[in-house]
Amino acid sequence: MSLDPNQPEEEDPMASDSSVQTSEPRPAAPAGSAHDATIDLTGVLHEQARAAESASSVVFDVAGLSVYYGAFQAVRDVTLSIAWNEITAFIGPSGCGKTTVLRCFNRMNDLIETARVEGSLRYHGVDLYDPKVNPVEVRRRIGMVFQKPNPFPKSIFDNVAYGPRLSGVRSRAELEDVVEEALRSAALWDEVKDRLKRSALGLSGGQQQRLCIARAIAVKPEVILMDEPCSALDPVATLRIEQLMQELKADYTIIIVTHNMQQAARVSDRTAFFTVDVDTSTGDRTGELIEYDRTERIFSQPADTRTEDYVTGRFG
Amino acid sequence: MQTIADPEAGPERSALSATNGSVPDTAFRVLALASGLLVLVILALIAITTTQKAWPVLSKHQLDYFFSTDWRPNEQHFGILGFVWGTVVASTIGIVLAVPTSIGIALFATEVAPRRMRRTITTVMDLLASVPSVVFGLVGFLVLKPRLQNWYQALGRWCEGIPILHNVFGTGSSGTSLLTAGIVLAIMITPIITSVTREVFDTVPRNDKEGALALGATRSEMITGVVLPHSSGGMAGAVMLGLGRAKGETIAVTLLIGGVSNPQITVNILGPGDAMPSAIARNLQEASGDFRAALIGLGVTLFVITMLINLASRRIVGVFDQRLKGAS
Amino acid sequence: MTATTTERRSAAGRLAVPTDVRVATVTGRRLARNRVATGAMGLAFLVAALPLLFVAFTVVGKATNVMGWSFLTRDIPTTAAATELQGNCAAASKYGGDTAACKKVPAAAPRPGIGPAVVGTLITTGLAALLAIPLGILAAVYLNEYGRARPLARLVRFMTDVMVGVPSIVMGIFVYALWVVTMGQGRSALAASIALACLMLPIVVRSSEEMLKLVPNALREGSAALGSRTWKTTLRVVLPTALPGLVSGAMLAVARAAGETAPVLFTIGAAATVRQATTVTGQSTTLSFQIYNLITNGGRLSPQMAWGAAFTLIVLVLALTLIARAVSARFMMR
Repeated sequence: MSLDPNQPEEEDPMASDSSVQTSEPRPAAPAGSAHDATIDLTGVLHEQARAAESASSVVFDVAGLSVYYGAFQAVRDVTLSIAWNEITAFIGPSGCGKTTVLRCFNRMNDLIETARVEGSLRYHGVDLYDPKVNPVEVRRRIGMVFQKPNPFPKSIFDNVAYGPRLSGVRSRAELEDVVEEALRSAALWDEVKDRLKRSALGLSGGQQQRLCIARAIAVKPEVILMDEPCSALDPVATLRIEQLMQELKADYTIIIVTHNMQQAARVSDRTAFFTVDVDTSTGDRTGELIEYDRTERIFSQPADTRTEDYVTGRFG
Repeated sequence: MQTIADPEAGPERSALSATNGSVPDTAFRVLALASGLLVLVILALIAITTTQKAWPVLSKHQLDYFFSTDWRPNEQHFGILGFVWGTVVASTIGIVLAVPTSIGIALFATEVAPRRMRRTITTVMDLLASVPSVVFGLVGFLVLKPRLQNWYQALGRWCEGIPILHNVFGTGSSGTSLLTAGIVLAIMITPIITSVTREVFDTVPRNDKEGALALGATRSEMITGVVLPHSSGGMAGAVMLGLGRAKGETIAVTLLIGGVSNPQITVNILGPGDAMPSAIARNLQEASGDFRAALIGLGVTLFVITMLINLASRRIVGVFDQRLKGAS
Repeated sequence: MTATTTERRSAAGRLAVPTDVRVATVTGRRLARNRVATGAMGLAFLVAALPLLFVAFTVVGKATNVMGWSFLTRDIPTTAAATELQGNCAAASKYGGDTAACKKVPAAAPRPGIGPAVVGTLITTGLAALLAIPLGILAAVYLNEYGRARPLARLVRFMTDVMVGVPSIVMGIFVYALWVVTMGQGRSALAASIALACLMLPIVVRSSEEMLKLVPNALREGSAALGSRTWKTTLRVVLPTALPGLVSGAMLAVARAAGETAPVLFTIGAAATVRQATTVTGQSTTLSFQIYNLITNGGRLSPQMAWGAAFTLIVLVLALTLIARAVSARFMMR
């Protein structure tokens, strides 16, 4: 796998290698056909599609990923791949390590001193945990939205402009454009356009979370990680975020951790089900990936009984 | 108003305080209250006794006492401005040197250093804070003074002829000077400012810090963008605390500031000066009459400055916190 | 789409980065700034640790040849003896001394000692602790168990903060003015310990209140539910629970007081023999006070005695500080 770093991101560098022709949603494909394909694909083209994905539109390729906190193994042997411009949901009972895994994708676990990662996590073929990789570069490309909305105690404008400013955008006019676009994409522009100078902390919880999304997309990442973004929000605000995710899907690859199965079923294209394995002798709780598939299959005909128990509400 | 501001006074509290049947309970309560009031009593006594003892000179000289630089005990003339100046200059040097160092150490401890090293840093700072003032004075006076003399003279010669600099770093220093006093003050207040700012940095929400890092900020950008703005109020409080300590520091300053009998307002920090507490320490033993009153008046001035610094720091911390909450 | 939209796209487009994380988008300047900032922080710590190391090495190095049990217990030689008589037969004859004995110099020479200062430090600091610690803890009990957020308690709390900031020399002046001048009590170990107690009191109050705050309310409620009155609850439940914290706070205050010179300066008088220093109401001396005197009097034996006294004082203060830290670390762990 050779990667030309100068290749524009709109072009799938691996597309030409792909021998399997498929109508899977591809970055360059028109949105309409992508939707049709998703609907038609179910069942019949499933195997074919999966083969295609693994070869072409893979963003992340995770193999044998384990996370340790000191001597304690928090997550064991996760293997999955994340497809381009899809929404992937991580579900599972609490303590199953889904957030821990998510935080590996932008090396947020680096901040925890005792945390250690084993296995490989490849982003477009490059191992993110290669010693030569700068975590700042990783986070520049892979944005994150947190469980609790965390706008900075600054104005709305300065919040969204924070990332672009770091990236060197200095001119006021340019910043204004970037901020407006990000806020429009986050469906927040109309609500805040008259009070951009006001403190972001004056916004409602749902608005704050959309502001955090706007802040994340203002730097044009390729991927947005969302860590239970709606858990602190009311149902109306949750619905707005979910709609927003559907809109963002056209431009971004999204991975969302959620404890809400309905949410995963509503928004995601693929779902990974994690559970927790309790070591009866030590009491250690280690998370593991049980099943990863298209969301329809996880919720209609899961391969593993544990998944079935969980999604039908018999467990968890 | 009172009921709102009294959230802890739940039902069980009022029930407890309302019981006045038991004698030991009442006695204990009164004892505790008396101890609490003791603080007020002592402060009042400090204010009254010292003012009373200083009154003969204060009433005679009035404002001239505070705004004159003419301190001639033999001629019964007492103007303390020269000492105030010495205290202000030495404290300012101390703060200017200590604040960046302390903030650097505190950031190093909270944001950079691994956990084990963090404990080493706190231990070192605690030990530094526990070194008695007189020991710094001793080391400075007997060991550093001769070396400083050479350095200062070299610095003074080097600055000769350069505008402003040759005023600030003038010649004629014996090693003990306003700058030496300022440096020792910096050493003494660094642990204090460090420990307070470290606590403040610890309260910055992890969530906010991660928010900045997730946007691709480097650590230093995260610090300047999130940690420092969030801590401005606390840092201001820490600086005021350091200032409060610096202005009253006595023994080390007495030994290292040079000690001139009638200090004037000068910008030459390589020259000797004198500070308010040092003047007291050096002279009160043998003083009597108006001289003693004038020296105690310096104590009164220090006391008043303490009150002012406390009130000011409350105000400043309040303003910063308000700004942080986004009231704009 | 309009032209403005296209322009906006291009402004935002500038932010798009290649997907390959090996391609640097963070400019060298940002990375350099980060590295410089990190280095500066570490450097700040080294700069601050330097004086500690310097003081430690200097004091230890200079004190070793004088330190010993006899140094710690012997009387302080008078200035005249220390400066003139040692090995100076002319002076000995001048003062009517035995010139023959003076020939056997080493045996007859006055030997350095700081016994009175050691005794005096223990007595004055101990006395100050006896005064300040019970009152300070009681005041903290008032603030945390009775006063809470009442206006009076808030006033006491604010004034305690003010008192923490009152310079130690003001405490010295205060006791000197009140006790020595007004009440005519004379300088004594007691007067010095009152001044030190004034210094310690607010420190003890603040640290004790913090510790009492850590005692969970459930314990108080549990005790109250069993019918205990507040004083019993406080004495039997709250204070014992907070004890290690109270001890460590008190020890830090003691350490601070033991090292203070300024409050003692005008209140303690002078003492040259251990016998003199073993009184409470008589004049005395302390290590810190003695160091200050030794630096300023310029006697021949003064420097080495000052170093020895400084070493003793540092060991005393550091021991108190480290024990306090250990106690509080255990308290926090529970």
